[in-house]
Amino acid sequence: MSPGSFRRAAGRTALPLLAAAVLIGTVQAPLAAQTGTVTGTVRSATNGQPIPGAQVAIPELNIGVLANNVGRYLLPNVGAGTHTVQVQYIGYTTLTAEVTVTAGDAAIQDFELRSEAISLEGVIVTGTAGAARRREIGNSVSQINEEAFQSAPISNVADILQGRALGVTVLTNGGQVGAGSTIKLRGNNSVSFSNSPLVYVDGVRIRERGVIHSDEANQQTNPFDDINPADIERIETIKGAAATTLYGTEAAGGVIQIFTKRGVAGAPAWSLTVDQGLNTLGHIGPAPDVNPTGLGMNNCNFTGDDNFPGGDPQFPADPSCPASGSWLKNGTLQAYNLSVRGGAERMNYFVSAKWGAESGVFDTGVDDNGVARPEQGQETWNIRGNFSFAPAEDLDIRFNSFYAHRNVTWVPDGNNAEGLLLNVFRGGADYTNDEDGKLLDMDITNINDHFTSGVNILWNPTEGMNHRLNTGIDWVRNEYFEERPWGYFYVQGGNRETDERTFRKLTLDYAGTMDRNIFGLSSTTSLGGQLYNDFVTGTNGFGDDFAGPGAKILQSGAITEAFEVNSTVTSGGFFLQEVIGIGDRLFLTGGVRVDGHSAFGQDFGLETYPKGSFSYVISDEGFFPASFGTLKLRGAFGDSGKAPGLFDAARTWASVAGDNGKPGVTPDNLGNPLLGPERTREWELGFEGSTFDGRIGFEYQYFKQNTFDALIPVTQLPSGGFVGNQLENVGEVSNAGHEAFVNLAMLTSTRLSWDVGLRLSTSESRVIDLGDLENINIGWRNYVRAPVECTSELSNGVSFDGNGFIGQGCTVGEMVYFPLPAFCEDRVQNPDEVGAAPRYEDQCLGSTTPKYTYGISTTMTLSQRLTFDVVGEGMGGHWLSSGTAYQNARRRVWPLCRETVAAIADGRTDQLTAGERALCDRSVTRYGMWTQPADFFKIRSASLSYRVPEDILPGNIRAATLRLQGRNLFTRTDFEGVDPEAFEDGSAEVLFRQEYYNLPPIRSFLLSVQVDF
Amino acid sequence: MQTIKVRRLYMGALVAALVSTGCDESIFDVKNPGRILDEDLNTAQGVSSLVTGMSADFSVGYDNMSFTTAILSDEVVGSGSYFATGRYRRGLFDSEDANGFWGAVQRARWVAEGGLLRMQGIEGYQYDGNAETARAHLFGGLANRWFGETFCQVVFSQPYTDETPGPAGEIDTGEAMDRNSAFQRAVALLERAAQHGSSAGRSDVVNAATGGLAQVHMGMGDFATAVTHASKVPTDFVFSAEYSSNSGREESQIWQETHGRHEISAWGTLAGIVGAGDPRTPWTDCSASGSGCASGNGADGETIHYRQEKYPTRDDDIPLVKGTEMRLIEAEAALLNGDLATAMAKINEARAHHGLDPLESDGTIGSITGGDGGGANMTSMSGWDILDRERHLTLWLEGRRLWDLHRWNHPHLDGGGVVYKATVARRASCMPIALDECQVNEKVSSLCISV
Repeated sequence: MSPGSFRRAAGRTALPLLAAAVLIGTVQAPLAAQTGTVTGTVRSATNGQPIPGAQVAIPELNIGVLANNVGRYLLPNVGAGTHTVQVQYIGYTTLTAEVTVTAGDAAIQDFELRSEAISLEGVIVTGTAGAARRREIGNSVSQINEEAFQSAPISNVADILQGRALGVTVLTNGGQVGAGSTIKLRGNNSVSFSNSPLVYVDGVRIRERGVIHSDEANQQTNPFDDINPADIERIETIKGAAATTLYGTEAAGGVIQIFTKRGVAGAPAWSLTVDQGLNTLGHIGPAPDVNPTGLGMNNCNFTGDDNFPGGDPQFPADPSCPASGSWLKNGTLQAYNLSVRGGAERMNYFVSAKWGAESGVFDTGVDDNGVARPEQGQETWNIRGNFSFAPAEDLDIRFNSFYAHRNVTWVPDGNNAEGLLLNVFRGGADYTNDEDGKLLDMDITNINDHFTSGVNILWNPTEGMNHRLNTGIDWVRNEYFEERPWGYFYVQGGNRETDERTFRKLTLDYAGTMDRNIFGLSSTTSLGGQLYNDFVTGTNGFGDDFAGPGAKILQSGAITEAFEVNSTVTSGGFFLQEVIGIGDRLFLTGGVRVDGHSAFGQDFGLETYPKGSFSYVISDEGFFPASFGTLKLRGAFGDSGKAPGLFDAARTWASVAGDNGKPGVTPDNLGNPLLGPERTREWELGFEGSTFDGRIGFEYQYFKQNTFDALIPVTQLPSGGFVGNQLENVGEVSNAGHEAFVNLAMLTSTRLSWDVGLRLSTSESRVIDLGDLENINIGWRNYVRAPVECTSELSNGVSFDGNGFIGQGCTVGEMVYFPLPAFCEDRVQNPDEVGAAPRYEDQCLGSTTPKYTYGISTTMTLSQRLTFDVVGEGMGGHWLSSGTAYQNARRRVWPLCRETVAAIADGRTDQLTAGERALCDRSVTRYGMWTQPADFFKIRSASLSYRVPEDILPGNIRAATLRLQGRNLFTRTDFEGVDPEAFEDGSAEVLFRQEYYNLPPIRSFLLSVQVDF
Repeated sequence: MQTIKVRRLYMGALVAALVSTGCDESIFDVKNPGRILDEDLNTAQGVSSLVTGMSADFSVGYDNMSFTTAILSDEVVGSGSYFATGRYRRGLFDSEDANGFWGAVQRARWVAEGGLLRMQGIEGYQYDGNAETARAHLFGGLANRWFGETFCQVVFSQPYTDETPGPAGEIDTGEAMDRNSAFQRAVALLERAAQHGSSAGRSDVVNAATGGLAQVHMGMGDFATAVTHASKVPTDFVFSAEYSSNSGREESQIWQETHGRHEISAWGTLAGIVGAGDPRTPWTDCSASGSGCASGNGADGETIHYRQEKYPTRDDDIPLVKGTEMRLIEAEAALLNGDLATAMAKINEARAHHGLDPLESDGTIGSITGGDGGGANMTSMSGWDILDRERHLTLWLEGRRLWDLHRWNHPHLDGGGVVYKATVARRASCMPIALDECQVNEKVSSLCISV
C-alpha cells in the first residue's frame, strides 16, 4: 500500500471499503464459484470489546472492508488460495494472518488487536486535508483513543486528558460540581492572553473557555465540558507553535482536536450505560488531632472530645448548623447514556442522548420557612447526531451536530464576604455572627446551552488528491442568575443580577492535499485557508433594594443598572505546505501561514508564520537492528501567534455617568496603530518508537519556545494623562521543557494482560524581557518580573523553609530570570532568632504554575473480562499561597497556630522564634509566610470492570459490562493549606493561582452498567 | 493527467485565498459599539459630556483616596481583610501602593486640563464666560489641590496628543517637583474658575473656587491670602464630589466599604471616643443588639464595627469645599498670629453650624501634642490641640486628615496607632510617586520607594 493510498483510506474513510462493509449483513453467498469469503470479528485483545471501523484488507488483492458496528467483517469474492489478511486501526498494533480460502466456503479469522500507544503507522489529523501518517510528522502529537478511557470514571472531557496526555496539564479548580478546569499544553508562553489551547470538535472550532464567571462562587463553567465524553472516539493534542503553525494566529497555546464517534455499516447497535454514585469529601484542613471540626466544615456542632473538652473555641457550634451536624453530606450522582450506531449503503449514523444529575457535597439545609434550599450541583442533557453520506464514490459528506444543556447551581465560595467556606473556616471571626446558614439563602445559577453543528465535505477526485471543506457553527448561550432575597442578612433589601451572553463562532476551513511521486520522491502538497468569525452579545443587569418578599425580576429593584456586550472579530489566513518523502523513511516538511486579524493595528498588515520539520524512521534503514523494533527521529520548528484584544489598537473613550446620572466620557484606551500579534517560535527535537515486539512504546522530546514581540500591558505615563496600560509588542518570554512517555505492555496474554504507562513532562516559563518595565503586578502577589542582575544580597538571602527562592545562590553579576508568573512577597529573614520581631525581605519564591507533571496509569485485565484500571498524577515545582491559612492566622483561628497564639496571649512572646511569630502572630504574619511548595500526587481514578460472559446473557443482549469506579481517591501533599488544587478564580483566564477558601476537589464513587444490544 | 491534478489543486488554492482573505477589505472590520473615538469628541454639543466626565473622574478616584488615607492617618481603624489594609494601618505605604491613587488623580487632573485645551479649539463653543468652562477649571483646580495635598512630590508631563500618540511617539516626561507646584497650578485654574463662574452667574462655582483657593494657599503656607479667600465663603456653603446609586461607578466607595462591607470602623478612633452623638461623626455600634448590621465585627473578624453614618447611602456626596473649613482656616491663621480669641471664635462659629456647644480654651495657644485619643490629645484645651481635634472631626472621612498630619508634622506620625500600632518609626504622611510613573519616566525612576 503506497503512502498515498493509505492517506486516501484514512482521509475519506475508504468509501469503497465502506460500501463493501455494508454488504456484510446482506451478502450471504459467494458471488462466483472460484471465490470464497473471509469473515470474522475484530476485538480488543485487552478487554474483548469489538472494534467497529477497524480496517480489514488483503493488500495483495487490493480489497478491504471496515468492521461493522459490532466488530464483524466480511471480505467477499476472495480468490481461492492462501492470502495475508491485515487488520489495522488507529491506536492498535497492526495484525496479519494467513488465511486459506476455499472456493464457495467462508474462512473464519478473528483478530484481537492490542492497543499500542506509539505506532508509526497510525494517522493524525494535522490541519491539512486528510490525515498524515505518524511516521511523516516531525512534531509530537498525543492521541488518546476510546479504549484508554472506556472503563474510567469520566465525567467530562478534562477527565479524559487528566493524567493521560503527555504535555497536557489539567488544573482542577475546586470541588463544586460543574466547575470548569483549566487546560494548558506546555505551560505558559503568553503574559497577556489565555494560555489555553484552541479546541476543534469534528473540524469545527468551539469556544474553549468559560463565558460568565460567577463572582460569588468564584468559578465558572467551561463549554468544553458540554461535550458528552461517551461520544468521543479519540482526542489529539497538538502541542506548541511548531506543530500549530498551520492553525495560525491564536494557536500558540496548542490545539486540541476532538473526534466523535461515527456511524458504521450494519444493523442498529445500541448501547445503554447507567451510572449511579455518590460524591463525598473527607476531613478538611490540618489533621483531626489539632483540627477536630475540619475547619468547622465537617462538624459545625462540635461539643468536644478528649483533646478539646467542651468544644473547640476557634470553631464554636453554629446555631444554623444543619441537623446532620455538618455542612457536608454525600451528594448523589446519576447518568443515563443511550447511543445507537449503524447504517446502510452510502449512509451511516451515530446518535446519542444523555441525561445526568449530580449533587455536590454541601448540605444546604432548609431556609427560615422550612423549605429545602437548592442543592449545589448540576443537571445535564446532551444529544448528538453524526451522519455520513456518500453521494458518489469519491465524495463523503458528514453532518455532525450536538446540543447540550446544563443547569448548575452554585454555593457562594472563595474570596467572597458571603462565601460559605470563608465564613465557616473563620469560625466565630466571620461576617455572619457565626450563623453561616444565612449565606445559603443566596441563589446562584448558571444555565448553559451549547449547540455545535458542522459539515465536513471530503472529496477525492483522483488517487492521491484530497479536498476537505469544513464549515460549522458553535453557539454557546450562558445565563447567570444571582439573587439575595428580600430580608437577606447582608443586604436587607436584597438584590438580583442577571447576565446573559451568547457566543457564536463560525468556522470555514478549506484544505487541499495532493500526493505525487517525483523522481522517486514522494511529494505531498497542501494548501488551504480558514476564516473564523466570533460574535459575542449579551446583557448584564442589576436590580437592588426590593420592596418586599417574593420572586423577583430586575425591575423589582428600586435601583437598576444594565450593561451590554456586543462585538465581532474576524480572523483568517491561508497556508501552503510541502512534504517531501525519501524512501518512505525520511520526510522533510516546509510550510508557511499568512494571517490577518481584526485586532491588528491599522498600520500592521498581515502576519506570516513559517514552519519546517523532519522525520526520519531510522529503524527502516538496513543497518538498524531489526530486532529492536521501530524508531523515529524527528525535529521541528515553527511559529504561531496570539492576537491582541479587540480594541487594543484604537484610541477610544468610554461613556460613563456623572453628576448623578448625566452622560459623561472618560479616557479608555490610548491605542497603538502598530499593534500586532505576539509570535511564538518553537524548536522541538525528539524520538519515538517501540521495541520488544511493540511491548514497549516510548516517546521523548525537548522543546524550546520563545515568544517574541510579546504583548505586554505597558503602563502609559500616568503624568501624561492617559492613565492605564496599553499593549505593546515589547516583551520576550521563553518556555522550555522535556516530555517523556513509556508504555509497557508487561503481560499480553489473553488470560492476563497488564499495561503500565509512565509520563513526565516539564515546562519552565520565564521572562526574558519586558521592554522598559521592571515589574507587572498581575494580582494576588503574582508578578511578571524582568530579569535582574544578581547581587550579593540576593544571593545570600535567607531561605525560611529550605526551599530556596529565585536568585538564592546566584553568582554576583549574572542575570537572574523569573518564572512566568513569579510569586513574590515578604519572607522572614531571621527565622531562628528567639525573642526577636521578624525581619522581612521581599523574595520571589517561584511560579504558581506547575513546573512538572507526571502520571502513571496501569490497566490489568484478567481473561479479557475483569479489568482494573488506575490513573495517578502528580504535579510539582510550583508554589501556592494559602489565603485561608494566612487570613485565619490573622484571625487567630488557624489550627496549626494554636501554640504560638497561646504563647502570645500568655505574654511569652520572648520565647518564640521570629519564624513562629512570622507565621502565627496576627500582627506581623504575611502572605509570603503561608506560601508553600504545592507538590502533590493524586489517584485521579480507579476502576474495576467486568464484562459479563456473553453466553449467560439473553439473546438480544450482545454485551454487558459492570464497572465500579472511583475518582480523586487519594492525595499526598505537604502543602499546609486546604488543598493544592483548590483555586481562587481558577477557571477564569488568569495566569496566577491562589487558594482562598475554595472547596477542595471532591471524591466520587460510581457503579456503572453498560448494556450493548 | 498530472497537469489536470495541479490545476485542480490551484483552483482549490484560489478558493482558499478568497475564503481566507475575503473579497473586500471590510471582512476584517471590527464592530465597535459603545466606544467613542477621540476625534468624535470635538463638538460643541459634546462639551457638557466632557465636563461631566471630569466630575465623574474626580469622584471615582476621590472616594478611594479618602477611604485609604482614612486608614493611613488613623482617622478610622482598618478593620477589614484587604491585604493592603494590613499595611496601611501600620503606617506603611510605598510606591507600589500608590499606583492606583496616582493614576486616579492624574486622570482627574488631565481630563480637566486636557479638556480645557480641547474646548478652546471646538468650533461653535462659547468658551469665555461659559458655566461649563468654569466647572472644568474648578475640577482641574480641585484635582491639583488633591494632588498636592496627598502626594509627597508631583510630576506633570506633556500630555499625549496627535503629535505624540504614545507608544509610537515621543513624549516629554516631567520632572519630580515639590507639591507646591500642584498648588500653584490649582491657583491658576481656580482663579479662572471663579472668573468664568462669575461671568456665567454660577455662585456655587465661584464659592467652591474661592474656598479651593483658600485651601491651596493654606497648603503653600500663605495664610494671609488663604484667609482673604476663606472669608468670602459662607459657613453653610458646601461643594461636594457627587456620588449616586445611578450606576456602580458613581456609588460612594466609603458607603460600600462600611455598609456594603465592614472594612473600616470608627472603633478606637477619635470619632469613636467622642461618641456617635457628634453630628459631624455619626456612627452605629454594630455589636449592639438591634443594630441592623450584618455582623458586629469588622471583616477582620474581631474589631468591633462602628459603622460610619456620615454617608449612610451610596448616594452621599463627599464635601470638597465647605464654609466650616473656611472658619477653621481662619482659626488656624489666627493661632499662627497668636490670636487665640479669634481662633476660638472661628472654631465655635463652625461648631455652632453643627449645633454644638462652644468650646473654651485653657488660655494657651500651645502646640499639637497628640495622644491616645485616636491620635489626638483628648484632655488638652490648648488652642492647637482643640484645632487638631476640630479639623479632625469637621473634615472626618473627607480625605484631608493625612494632609493635616503631614503639614503639622503631627506627633502621631512618630509611630502612633489607634488600634494597630505602627511597625515603623515614622508613619507615611503622604503618598510617594507611583511605581507606574517610575517605570516609564526615567526622570523620576530613582524616586520610588519600597517599604
